[in-house]
Amino acid sequence: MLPHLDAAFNLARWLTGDERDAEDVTQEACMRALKFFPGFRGGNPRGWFLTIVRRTCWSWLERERGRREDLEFDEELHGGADLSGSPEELLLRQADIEAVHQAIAELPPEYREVVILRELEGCAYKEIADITGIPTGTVMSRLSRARRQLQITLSTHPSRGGHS
Amino acid sequence: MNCEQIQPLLEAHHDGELDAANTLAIEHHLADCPQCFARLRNLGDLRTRLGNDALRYRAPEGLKGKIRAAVESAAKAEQPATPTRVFWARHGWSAAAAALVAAFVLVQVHPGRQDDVLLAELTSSHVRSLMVNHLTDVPSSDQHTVKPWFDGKLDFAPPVKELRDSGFPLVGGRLDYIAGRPVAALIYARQKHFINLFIWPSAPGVSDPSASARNGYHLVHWTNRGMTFWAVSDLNEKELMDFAGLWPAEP
Repeated sequence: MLPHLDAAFNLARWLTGDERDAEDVTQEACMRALKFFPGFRGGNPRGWFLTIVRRTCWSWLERERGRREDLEFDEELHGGADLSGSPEELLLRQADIEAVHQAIAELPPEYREVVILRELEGCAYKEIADITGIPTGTVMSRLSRARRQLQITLSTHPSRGGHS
Repeated sequence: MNCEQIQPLLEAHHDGELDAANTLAIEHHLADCPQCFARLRNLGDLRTRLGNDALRYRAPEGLKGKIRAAVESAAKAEQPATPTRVFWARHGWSAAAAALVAAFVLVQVHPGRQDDVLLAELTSSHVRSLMVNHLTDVPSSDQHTVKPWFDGKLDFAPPVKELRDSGFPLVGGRLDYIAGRPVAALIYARQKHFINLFIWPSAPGVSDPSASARNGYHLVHWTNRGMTFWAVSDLNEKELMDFAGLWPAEP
């Protein structure tokens, strides 16, 4: 069926942080994709579909944010959203995977999405810029900050089998 | 270039997004600078850890069924107000899904479509395979080991050839993901260089090898035997075209 369903679900799952919410968001995005499909002019189908998924996720996140309190994202000042309270329901056995998983989940969603798109989906800068609607320069700086934060978080959990 | 000038470019280099001139300048600098080299290695380590397949969520089995049901009930509920809606309502999910999938597939494997995103994807995939020490899933120089390894992992059988006698020994095979689909990657060596040969099915038709370049890497694309081929390497264009010449269309 839809060849990009896994990519869509992966992005939604990482952005919403919840299995059921990710299913709802993916489903809604599929409905929107079908509705907008007559307007699709070719090009990059995965990017086109992920743009819709990402937009649906953000509407969802904004509703959630409104429900908690207004958490404005500040490009320069943010210190990392605290999501440690959210239940870690995944059955991830290896300690390293768990540490990496936790480190990604702790990133603010603005950083998380560029990391997911670049490292898990293998998108190029230009593709990420198209999907997220932010300039390539901002994609690069967010990716760089996200990586630095991940490296700092993960430095307390050195990978096994890494360089000595 | 000094360390300070290198910093903003190091990650773009790591992501395979730099042009040839900057790539060369960086590699020059990295050869003499243990600090920057260590930074690049740390980026590589992070990528290896993030590259663990267990971190990528897959859509649950039941989700497809749910989406199908949602689309069908939406199609029934909606009044056929516009031609588009009439189409979805009359033909239902199956036609809608078929149209969507057909469009996705056609766009992706249309032969000769050398769009920028695909070139970028192929190049980063090549670079990544060399960088994260994940060149092969099945390291073997024996085509009779590599070919059966793909059975059951792909919905097509990629042609695998040993080309040692022509100066391109087979190193192994790997599963990769390009243009939104699983593809076969065959790895060949040429002296100290590696070639990633990406293969996936395409519409019937034959196109001769054509070369392009990206970020200092060369790419050669051709189509025959119902497959589309992309060879990516830092080899020079002539040798890569020679390599492509070893994959003629069958008479």
